[in-house]
Formats: sequence, structure tokens, C-alpha cells
Amino acid sequence: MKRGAIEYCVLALVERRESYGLELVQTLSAVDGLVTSEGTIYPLLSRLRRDGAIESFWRESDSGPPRRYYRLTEQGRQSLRTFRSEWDRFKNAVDQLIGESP
Amino acid sequence: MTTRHIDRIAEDYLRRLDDELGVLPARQRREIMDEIRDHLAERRADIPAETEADLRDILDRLGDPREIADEARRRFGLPDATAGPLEIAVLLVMTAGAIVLPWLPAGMAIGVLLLWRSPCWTRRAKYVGGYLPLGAAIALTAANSLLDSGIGLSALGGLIAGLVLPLAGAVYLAVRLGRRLRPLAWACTAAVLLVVAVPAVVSLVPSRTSAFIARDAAPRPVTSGKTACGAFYAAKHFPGRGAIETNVGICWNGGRAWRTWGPNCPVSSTGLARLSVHRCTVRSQGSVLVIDTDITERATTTSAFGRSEGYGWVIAPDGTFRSI
Repeated sequence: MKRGAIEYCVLALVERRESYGLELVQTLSAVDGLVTSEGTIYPLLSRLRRDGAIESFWRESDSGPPRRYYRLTEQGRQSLRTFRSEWDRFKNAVDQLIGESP
Repeated sequence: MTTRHIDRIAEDYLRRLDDELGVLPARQRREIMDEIRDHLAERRADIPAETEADLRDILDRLGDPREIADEARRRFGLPDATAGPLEIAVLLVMTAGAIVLPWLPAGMAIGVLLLWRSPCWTRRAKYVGGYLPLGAAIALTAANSLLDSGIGLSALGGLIAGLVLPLAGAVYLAVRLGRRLRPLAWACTAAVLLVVAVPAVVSLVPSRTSAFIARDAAPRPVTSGKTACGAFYAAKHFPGRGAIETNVGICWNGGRAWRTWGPNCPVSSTGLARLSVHRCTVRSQGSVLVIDTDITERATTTSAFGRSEGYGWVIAPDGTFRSI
């Protein structure tokens, strides 16, 4: 469940703002319990690039060599939209069934 | 210097990661390596006076190379890295081939072909355990058959190519598979090895054999005074693998046997045998002479297709000995 959701978390972050690898890693790690090891984000990024959900470009940085940035593609936008509605339904269904803890 | 030591730790990590990612297509591997290199560089640059502990902390948070590679494998839908029938086949074929054909790396060639298809070993492991040893074995075998030099050297070369390199490669690959090779697989491999190896070892033990002088082909037996000379075939039997025979020329003066060994020493199915007659006793049994010989095997230089080695003595039709 986590592995499927992280993909869309990354897409959502990139939708919010064009980011580079380390930025995404830092944001994701800051959320409790989402990522076990930072390095595992990079295979995900590579996969998303190959699938065409994100694309990369280089941008100069003032503190060192240029960085590889990521931005959402139209395809990525579309799949994120789909996931959002599915996630809503899923979340509500589970909440309903699980209910409040006694 | 501490800085260089720290750099070496970082390089080691990246090298291991590159190795583990070897199962991925080249483009994806490069992408991930580049990104992680940048990640590492940037994180390290943030620390003004970096210590080894700092670096190890960064690497810990990055994660174990194998973990990252496993994640990559999952993300790209590559098969899981637990050893399956293909991997067992690689190990078995290489080992069994080495034992059954100890002078020719045929089993190793097949094993390496299978190895190429397996996702369970990293690129480097495949090179060290498979491709390179096979290359060396083939080169050695080719050199062997071309040069055909002295007895000891060529036989040693054949053994290294056909036995030592495949076994070493198989052991290395098995160790690298390590925890991914389930205990059951280990047990199966060990069982098959036992079944193949034990008869192979047993059959190498020299054995006695006997032969009848009446069975000789040529030269014909002649008698000179009290001495009878003739040739006979001595054979050594290998359990389940047939026999090798050799021509033995011998003269018997009614009490003492001159021993020789024959000019024709066909090579056995193992490619390793040359028979030497060390000791023989002669007795008459009715109208025939029976020679009991003690025959042992020695390594040979000839190829598997048989070639005569000319040495020893020949008994000419007129009954004289002639050395070759």
C-alpha cells in the first residue's frame, strides 16, 4: 500500500513545485514513517521518468554544479488526478469500516 | 590522511551500489547512480568539517546498496532475486561438468550460458565467477591442444581448465548467492555432487587386471631358446565407463619376466589415462601364459581422440627387442 502511494506523493510534490532529487528526499523523509532509506526514492524517480509521468531538466545552482530538476508531465498530471479520486474513495471506505477506535 | 580515507569509504559505497544495480538496464542504472552521486556530494558539502562518522551517517540514511537495488528491481518489475531452478542449474552444470569431464570446460561453458540469463548475480559476480574463468579455461584448452608440450605441463593445464577453474567459479558464485540460495537448494546441490563425485573418485583408483597372452594381435609371439616373447593387451576397467587397453610387450624365460610397456596407449574416456605396467607375474595355465599386471594411470598429454605415444620397447618378429 505504502509503495503504491509514495509514487503519487512524489507526483504531488512535483506538481506543487519543480524539485530536484535531494529536495524530494528531504521532504518525504520529514513525513513520519514514509520512507525507510533515502536511496530508495531514486529508483522510483527513474521509473517515473521512464513511464513518462515526470520529466527532468537541468538548472544552474548558485551553490555548486547544476542540478537535475523534475516537473510533472501531462500524463503525470492525469494519473495523479485519477489517483486522487480513487484514494478519496478508498480512504472513506476504510475509515467507514474501521471506524473510531473503541 | 583522513580525508582520503573518508573518500575511499564513499567510493566503496558507490562501487558496491553500481555493482548491485548491475541487474538493471544500463540507462536506468546510470540515472540512479548519477542522482545518488549528486545526493552524496551535496550532503557531504553541507558539512564544513566532515568526519568519518558524518559520512557513515549519510550513507546509513541513504540505505544499504542491496536494499536500493532490491527496490529498483521491484520498481522495474524485474524478477525477484531469490535463487530458483536456473541458478541451481548453473551451479550444478558447472560442478558436474568439472567432475565428469575434468579436462574440458564443456560443463562450464553451458553453465556460463545459463548464468548470462540469471538475474540473481550482479554483473561483476558474473564476470569473476563465470565469464573470466571460462575465457581463461578456453584459452588454456586451446593452448594445450596447439602446443602439446611436455607431459606434466599439458596435463596440468588441462586439469586447471577443466576442473579447477569451473569448480572455483561455481564455489564463488554459490557464495555470492549466499542467503538467497535456500537451504533446500544447497541440499540438492550437495546430493547431486555426491552422486557424481564419489564414483568419479572411486574409478580413479588403480586396479589390478589380468590378460592372456593368447589374445595378442601383433607382433606374433616368438620363442628364442627358453624365452618366449609376445605382446598382449592389458586392460584397466573403469566402473561404468568402459575400459582402456594397452599393448604390452613382454618376454618370459620361464622364470623371470622382462616387463615393458607398450607402444600404443589409447587414451581413456576421461582423457587422463596412460597405462603403465609396473609389475607383472607370469604363469602358465595350460597352453597359455597368463600375465598378471599391476597397472596404474598417469596423466597424459594426448587429446581425447587418441594418439600413439612412441616410447618403450617393441618386439620385432625375429624376437629381438628394439627400443622406440
